[in-house]
Amino acid sequence: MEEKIINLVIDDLNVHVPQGTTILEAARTVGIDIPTLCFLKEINEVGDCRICLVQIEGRRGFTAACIQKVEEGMIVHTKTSEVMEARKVVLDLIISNHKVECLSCVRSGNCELQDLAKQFNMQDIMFEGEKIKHEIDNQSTSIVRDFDKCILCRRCVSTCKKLQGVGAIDCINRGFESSVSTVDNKSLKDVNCTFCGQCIVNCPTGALHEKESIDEVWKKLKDEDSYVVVQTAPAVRTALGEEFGLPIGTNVTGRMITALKRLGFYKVFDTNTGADFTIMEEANEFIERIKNGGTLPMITSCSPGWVKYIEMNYPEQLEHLSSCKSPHEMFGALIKTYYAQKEGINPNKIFVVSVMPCVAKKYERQRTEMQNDGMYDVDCVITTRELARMIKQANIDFRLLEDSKFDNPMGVATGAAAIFGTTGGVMEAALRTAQDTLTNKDLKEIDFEDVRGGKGIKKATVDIAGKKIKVVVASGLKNAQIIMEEIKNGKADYQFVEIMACPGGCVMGGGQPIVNSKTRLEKDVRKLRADCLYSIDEKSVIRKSHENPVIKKIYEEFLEKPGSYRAHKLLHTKYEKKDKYNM
Amino acid sequence: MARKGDKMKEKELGDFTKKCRKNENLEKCKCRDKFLDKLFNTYEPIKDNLIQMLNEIQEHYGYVPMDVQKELSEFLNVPMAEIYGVITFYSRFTLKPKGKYSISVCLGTACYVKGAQKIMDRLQERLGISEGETTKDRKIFNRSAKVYRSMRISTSIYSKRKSIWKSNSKNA
Repeated sequence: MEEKIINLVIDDLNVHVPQGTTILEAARTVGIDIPTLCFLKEINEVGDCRICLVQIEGRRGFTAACIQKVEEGMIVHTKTSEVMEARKVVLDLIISNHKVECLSCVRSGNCELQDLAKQFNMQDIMFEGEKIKHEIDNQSTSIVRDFDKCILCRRCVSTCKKLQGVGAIDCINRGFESSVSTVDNKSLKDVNCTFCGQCIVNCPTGALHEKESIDEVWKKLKDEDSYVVVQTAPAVRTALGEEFGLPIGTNVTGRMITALKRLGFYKVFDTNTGADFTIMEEANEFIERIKNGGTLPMITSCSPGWVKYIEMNYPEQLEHLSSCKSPHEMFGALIKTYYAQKEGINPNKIFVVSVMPCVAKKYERQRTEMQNDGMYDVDCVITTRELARMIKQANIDFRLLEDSKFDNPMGVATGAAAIFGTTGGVMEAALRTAQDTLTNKDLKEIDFEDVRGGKGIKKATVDIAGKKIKVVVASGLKNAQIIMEEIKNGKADYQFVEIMACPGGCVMGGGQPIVNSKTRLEKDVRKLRADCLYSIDEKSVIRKSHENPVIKKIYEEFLEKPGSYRAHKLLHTKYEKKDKYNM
Repeated sequence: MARKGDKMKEKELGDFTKKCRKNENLEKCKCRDKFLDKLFNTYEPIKDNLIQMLNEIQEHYGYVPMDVQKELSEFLNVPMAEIYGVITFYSRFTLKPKGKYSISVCLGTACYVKGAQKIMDRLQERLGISEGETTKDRKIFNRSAKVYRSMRISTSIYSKRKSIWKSNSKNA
């Protein structure tokens, strides 16, 4: 069926758009930029904040352009003085109940409310009235909620409920007392929050942000008695540049390492090497399960938000979860054992910092399972955004830095590990190793295109050593829920599942630089960041984890073989049922 | 179809309700499990039934207890935050037990100008409870209401849907 074309007039310009288009989108096709605040395409289309008001001839009052669909013969005005005045009042009213402390706000410079104030040429605060006071929730390990800065746009609520299918937060009370909060105003640590952090990256203001650990890292860096070692996740290098004005998807690996060295870290390692260990252990576990009739399908366990989700929602299916720790935890454990031993350093003096695209890792780090001999595998987790803040604090001009390389003896990583940062990457990397192990050959066809791309659920069949193996890749907890329901109801005909809590995988994680809603309409941020990882993979000389010389060496000298006793002690973990609500 | 039995409230829950309302300690209601069993058997586990079920719970307990919200959340597969949002949105549902008698003080603009807040303050002082709370003997539930029927009267207190007290600024 052919799409019906609607003709309308916006600000004296003739516009022709398909039926079902909103006025907002129609206006953008002819270069008219209607301001928005609560609008997030396909996530939050509720017409809540009223900043996008327009006038339609023949209708009373104003209409929200972000939800009003175009109609034949409509005549729309987007910049009459009445419209401008109405929008200004809307903005004034929003700001009247907002804690304006831009100088000390973590989102200053990247705040959509601040941008609007600038755009509207706000010179003073119009209404000074009663403001609602909330307590700051900083009890959880990962997320801080400061609802005095909340403008009730509901982007976080829609993200949590619709995109992730979790629903830890919702709108409570009514009228002036309305707020976005949890059940009984509890802290996020006591409710069904998974700490994926998607609410943070979708918040237009500073109402939601990560729990900062910068001060702790600075303190340790100044402590001459400790060896502060840092490792960086694959997704960090694709996005860190954005914080310094570089285009989305710029590979800044070399500059990032230089910056970290200048910050004073003793050694800079690559979590990708840890990811190679994860692949070795995970592929081995998968092969064992196939050979010995273990629980199938096996599900990956790299994403801590996902792990918390399954522990709370599907505790009876925990056997499906791989027992592997996530890459940075594995690597942390190896730094404090193998590396400490080799360099002759007391592991108690090593302080491992992980730079992650994720806020759930902050929670994962503190899990009691992530310890070895009473020491945490990782001592501190900072997000990509926090690292950018540290670099700025240290007066480093990131853009002018020269490139450096990761430190030895664990400075080699494969292309397979690099793609861990995007949805489908863990699956592809594991298949490369499983394929070679099962066939005992060095196969050349290693690009698994079927598991790439931005779709929420991707299913594929792979032919390995004459066996047809069905795999599924899901990202976003809503999609994870669909897969889990299939497994629960016995409808799963696949053997291997990769699940990432954030839609699009780690490149779109809750700790990544925040891209405003307007840029997200114009650019496919996920694709740009993911393509950067795929190009790192293509340029790599070694593209299979089991061929990494560092991995081979450490297995030879220290761990024996994948799945050995020592590997299990250091690199594997266990899970348990968790209560959704702590009443 | 959303519901199996429309008449659950009148026919089967009627007995429970009477008993529980007399019970001094509602949280330890003896027929709690029995009531919930009945409730979950009567309604199908779909989200559309949320408000109706909350209504039954409110009728039964005189409020919606936290642990019942939790069970309801699991039954309907609706996050607790959402249920809590519905409860706090509608003034019909309360998180604390309502008393036998409910007093509402109109705090609409006209009443407020005439000094309704003073009455509210005095009432709270006398009863020893604040807005939205119930006295210890569960007799009186105090709440504010905005805009009642006859605004022109100014300053009115309502109980049992009847105006029990009107005043003008003199006796306020």
